[in-house]
Amino acid sequence: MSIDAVRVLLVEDDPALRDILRDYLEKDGFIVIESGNGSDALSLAESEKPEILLLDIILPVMSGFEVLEKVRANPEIGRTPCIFLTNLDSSENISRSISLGAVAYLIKSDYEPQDIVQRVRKVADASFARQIERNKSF
Amino acid sequence: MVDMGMYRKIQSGLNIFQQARDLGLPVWKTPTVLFGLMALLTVILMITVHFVVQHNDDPRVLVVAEAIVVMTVFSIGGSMISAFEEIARSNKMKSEFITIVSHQMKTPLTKMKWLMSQWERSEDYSPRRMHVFLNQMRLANETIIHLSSDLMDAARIDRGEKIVILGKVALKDLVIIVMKEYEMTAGLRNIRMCFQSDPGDAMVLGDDKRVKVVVDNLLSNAVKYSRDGGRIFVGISDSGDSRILSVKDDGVGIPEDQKQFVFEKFFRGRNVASGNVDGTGLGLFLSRGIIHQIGGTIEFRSTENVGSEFLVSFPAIKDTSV
Repeated sequence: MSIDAVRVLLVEDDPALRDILRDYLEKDGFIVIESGNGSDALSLAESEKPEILLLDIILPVMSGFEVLEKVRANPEIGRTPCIFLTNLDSSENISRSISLGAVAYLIKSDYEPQDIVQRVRKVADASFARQIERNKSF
Repeated sequence: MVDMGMYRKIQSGLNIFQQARDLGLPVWKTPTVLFGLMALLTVILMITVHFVVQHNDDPRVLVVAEAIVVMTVFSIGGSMISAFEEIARSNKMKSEFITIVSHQMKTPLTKMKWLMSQWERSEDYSPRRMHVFLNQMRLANETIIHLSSDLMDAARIDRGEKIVILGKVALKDLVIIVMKEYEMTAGLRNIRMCFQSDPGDAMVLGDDKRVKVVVDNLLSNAVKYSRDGGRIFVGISDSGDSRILSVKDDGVGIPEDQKQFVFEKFFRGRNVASGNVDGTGLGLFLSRGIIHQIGGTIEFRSTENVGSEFLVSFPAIKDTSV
């Protein structure tokens, strides 16, 4: 993985919100793979193997939680860092996201798009650093 | 010294009418009335048993009398438990509803916030870009207005207020307009929508704005609960004094044990409420309220994992001069 070509799978069913986030992510140098429903998102995660998942929770066909459960069950992509991006503010959902190993749970309305991109950048940097460490240890 | 707090608590506990209003229950189902009834009946029955036993030496009479007392206490206790269950269920639904409505409100509000951020850092302020921006802001704003109207209409229907203004509605034209609005959403998921109507304009008694809400809710549900690649059939047929609108899908259907709650406020099927379908659970409650005010009927047939069909009957207008 190269730090300047991180591929983000952006899963958001609202086209307007998806367009805005894609615009911000691309301007920050990310390669964006996008999907508007959970089922397609899972197929894209398996075929494209993105470096980061940016997942909404309420999605057509399959929820964001179900997508991440299936991603985690797949050894090839199971360790992909995931950020949940939702307007569902409940401790039950936050607990579920933690149990699924999500690295962040962001409430959309609390953030500006540039703040979300910053969080994605931090996750990408941390993931890149971990990979360098792993490579060194081999 | 009189404990005023305790006094007020007892006073409020004895105000059964206030309790009924607060809990949304009929007066006879309030915990105070049921508890009082149980105590009263127990005393009456115990006294009766006492007199029966005094005038009768047969032990079987005593056993039967005691059994009657126990059964009566149990049946009133059962009513109390079911009243508590009703309150608990209603509280749970309201709490879920608040979460859902907050989420539904936050989505367009987030959209407006992000659009403004994007606009602020834009380098393109051309009229065309401005037009796109304003259009997106308008759509987000309309979503909020739509949701607020649904909430207010639901409250008005709940209070028994009339929300329809009866007039003449061209049902066929209205259905075609609403179907067009869903073409893109359905198309994105390869859902095919078919429409068949008996000849004529299908003029019915109703209220344009409210009938549109009903048709919109039925189509919205059919699209939401269809599987990708599914089919939706919309039809209008003549049935004597009525016109029947049917909306049929081959989607997830409604579980058997949930069918009785379909038209209740805040209801969302167990098989769809787990997190992947948007909705407030007000659509069918509103639709039923509107159709009843128009003088029509609404019913459904559904099989889980096979699909659902909603049938709405409108009073037909034969004479177009009305």
